[in-house]
Amino acid sequence: MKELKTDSRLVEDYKYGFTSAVEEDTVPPGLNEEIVRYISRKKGEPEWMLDFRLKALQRWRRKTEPRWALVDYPPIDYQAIRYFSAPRSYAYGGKEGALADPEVKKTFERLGIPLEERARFEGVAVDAVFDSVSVATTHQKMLEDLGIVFCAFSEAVQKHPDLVRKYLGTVVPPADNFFAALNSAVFTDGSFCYVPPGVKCPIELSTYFRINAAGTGQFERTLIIADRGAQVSYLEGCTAPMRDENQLHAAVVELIALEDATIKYSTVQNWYPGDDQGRGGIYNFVTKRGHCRGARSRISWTQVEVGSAITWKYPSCILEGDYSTGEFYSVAFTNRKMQADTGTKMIHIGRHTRSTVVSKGISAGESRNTYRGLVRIEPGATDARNHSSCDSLLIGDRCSANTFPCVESETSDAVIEHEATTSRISEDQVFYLRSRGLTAEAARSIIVNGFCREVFKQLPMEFAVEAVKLLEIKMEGSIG
Amino acid sequence: MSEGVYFGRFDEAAFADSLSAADGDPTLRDLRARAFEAYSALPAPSAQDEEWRRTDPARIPFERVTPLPPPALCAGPLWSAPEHEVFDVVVTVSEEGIGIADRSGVLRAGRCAVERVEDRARRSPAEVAAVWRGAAISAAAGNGLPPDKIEAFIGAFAATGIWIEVAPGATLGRGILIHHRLRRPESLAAWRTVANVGAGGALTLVEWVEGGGAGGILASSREVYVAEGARARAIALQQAAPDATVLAVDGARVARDGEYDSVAAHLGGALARTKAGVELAGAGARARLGGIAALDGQRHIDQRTLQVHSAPDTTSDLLYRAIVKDTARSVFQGVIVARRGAQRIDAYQRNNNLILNDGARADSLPGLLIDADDLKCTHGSTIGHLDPEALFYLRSRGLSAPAARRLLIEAFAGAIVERLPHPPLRDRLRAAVAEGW
Repeated sequence: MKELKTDSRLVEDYKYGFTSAVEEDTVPPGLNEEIVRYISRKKGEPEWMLDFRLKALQRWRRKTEPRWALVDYPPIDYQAIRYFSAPRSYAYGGKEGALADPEVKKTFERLGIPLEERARFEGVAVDAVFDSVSVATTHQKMLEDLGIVFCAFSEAVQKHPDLVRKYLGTVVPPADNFFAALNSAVFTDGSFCYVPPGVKCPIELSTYFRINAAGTGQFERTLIIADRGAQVSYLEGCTAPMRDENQLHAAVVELIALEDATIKYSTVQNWYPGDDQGRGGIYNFVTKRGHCRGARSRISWTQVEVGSAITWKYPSCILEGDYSTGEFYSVAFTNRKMQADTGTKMIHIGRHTRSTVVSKGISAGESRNTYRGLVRIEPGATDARNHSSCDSLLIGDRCSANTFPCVESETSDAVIEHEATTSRISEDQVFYLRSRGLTAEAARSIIVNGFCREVFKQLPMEFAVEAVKLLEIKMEGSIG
Repeated sequence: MSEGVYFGRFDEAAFADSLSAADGDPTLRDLRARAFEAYSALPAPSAQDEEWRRTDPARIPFERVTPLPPPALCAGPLWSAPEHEVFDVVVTVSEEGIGIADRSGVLRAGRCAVERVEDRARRSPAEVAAVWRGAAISAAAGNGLPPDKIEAFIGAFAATGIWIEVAPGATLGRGILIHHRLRRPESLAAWRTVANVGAGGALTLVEWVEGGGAGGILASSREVYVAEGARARAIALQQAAPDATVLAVDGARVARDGEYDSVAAHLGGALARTKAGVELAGAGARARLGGIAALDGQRHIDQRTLQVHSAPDTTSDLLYRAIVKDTARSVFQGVIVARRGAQRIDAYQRNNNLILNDGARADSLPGLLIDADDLKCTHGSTIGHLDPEALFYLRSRGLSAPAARRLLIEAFAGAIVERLPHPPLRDRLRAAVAEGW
């Protein structure tokens, strides 16, 4: 009886776990030069792009997988993964073809992602990525009129090769780390965005990533450039079907903010986290980094991490421009046997740079939730300021919460403050809310929401509402 | 049998020499041989290791030093100093020997025992064997912590040690001072200290290290076992020669309702690498850990701390402060561990760093490893500079700029300096911290 209950809760819990019967055009598993050339050919890439990939592949071969994170997983067989998969309809008809595929369309309908410009989501432009290819990008006309480029990465390679060539790999070089090198060799699609000088993007730009095919990995690449004085807000969402195998997701995101530019990057990550026994789920090994290149530029990361079997992710800011600002707001929720090792790096290089780190970790079940961060003040970064606060909430006595911040300063006038707390939900607060007529579960949900409020309020409104709901669903049954 | 990995010239032959120089008590020989086995089996630290990334192990001059022979037991103190006045027992240690002075008659009265470990081992080998395993931090942390090569090295090469035993219910009002004065250049002085505080007893133990010959290594470990309801205060005042290397490993285990209070003051040495750990092993145990370091020139200190809560209703409170100037560098890495079942604990960890000029560097890595849910664990860390407004205020009150700086530095260090119970040592520490800044 108990089994049954667990199962139904699971289905309720991960409502994005369905698979779509899309005919896939895929390659045999394995990674070699042939596959890299195939991906490049498939995308009709110019010579320099293929070169970039092949060099990255060589680098990757020389690198070893990082194992310092506080996560356990069996060895990954990189030769058993398929590095390219696209709906067959895409092969014949390209983007239009894929969109005409009723199964692909139905998938995004079920996910609630609007691929047509509907009234309800007027304020959001969407780029939808299905396995390895981008299938739809909305609002392109309106953005074009403003001079904003927002399209699939492969499209940008064709249409704006100069921009891509100028900026690709300048924040996360292919040799940066094992997973970045892997991504640089085999990345398939993702979003590209360029906001020209002085333009404030009037709507939210967003990408929705969906892994559907079995035995594949998703390796997307996102590159966002805000030219002088430009402003853009970007959102990213992710889901995957429920499978009892582990799938690899190794993305690279690069943000570049020139003088006076602002980039706001928000993520709601809800990859399939695996079942109660820790079977299946996505391995989310992601390299995200922003570069405040110009003076007075600003990069803000907000992330809500509620999925993935394993999360290995450190969205970072390199504060090179004088008076530049970096921000990191994060909620990481782990349940069952999930493992998250996430945090940020703030590298202060320019003068008068500022950074803020707010991290909220919630662990339940038998999960492990780790914050790992670095704040570094380089010599010459005069008048740098940083404030970091990392709070952890524990639900149940079989989970663990760890905090490993690292602060390094080489200047005499930097002011760096770090604080961290770990606690559980206060019985007094629960008692008070129950005395006002709430159930124990509702009371706890309210307290957790309050705990995360500082981060949620950084999200664009529609997504903040989604995030609150998502966390509520994720918490169901985790309290005993 | 695979080839051992050794620090510099400290191989099997050197160990055999070191053993034959000692007085040959079989219990100690056996314990040291076991520590040597562990030491030679562990891989050598390298700058690529996460643990040694910030402190290059190649800076420890293992190649150049030769071990000192174990000091002989002398009658009475080897020298006296005004600071000795305020202690019950004073142990003086130098190349010439070890002298134990029972100033207030506590040894004669049987309220406590202070002796060389060799002498203790001869009388009660089983008791020494139970404790003298050469693993202070491991003793503090229990299992589950990676073994430390330096700790095993000290266990193998420590040719001498002081054994302290406080009888149950006995209280040493003024405490025990172990005063080291070492001068021989390019030598390795390795020693260990073990203090057992019986149930309901109270001990104040001060280890004061002066000197250390040019280019030498001072390697020491200290273990304090606090029985039920007992109290122990352990203070380390390190004023080694400016070019000495200091390796220190301190551990404590606190039983039910026991109390442990430690202060580590590091003022000397070109390079200091210290580990300090405490395990709160019984319900209601409490610990307070304090640290102060002041560094100038190219000096480097790397301090690791560990607060392990393995019993419910325990509290720990850590405050480590460092002042760096010139191109000195301070590294602090602290971890709070809450074991499963350690419910209703309260653990605190705070690291404050004061950087006095550009070029000096401070790294702070506080950490929490939590496996229980009903607890309060907090850490904080700051890196900052002298507040210009405070300096301006003091100058407006008529203080010169150097005096104002000195006052602010003294205030910063004050929170730790005040924890020293003996006024003469407190004054010494206060002067050393404020001197020349």
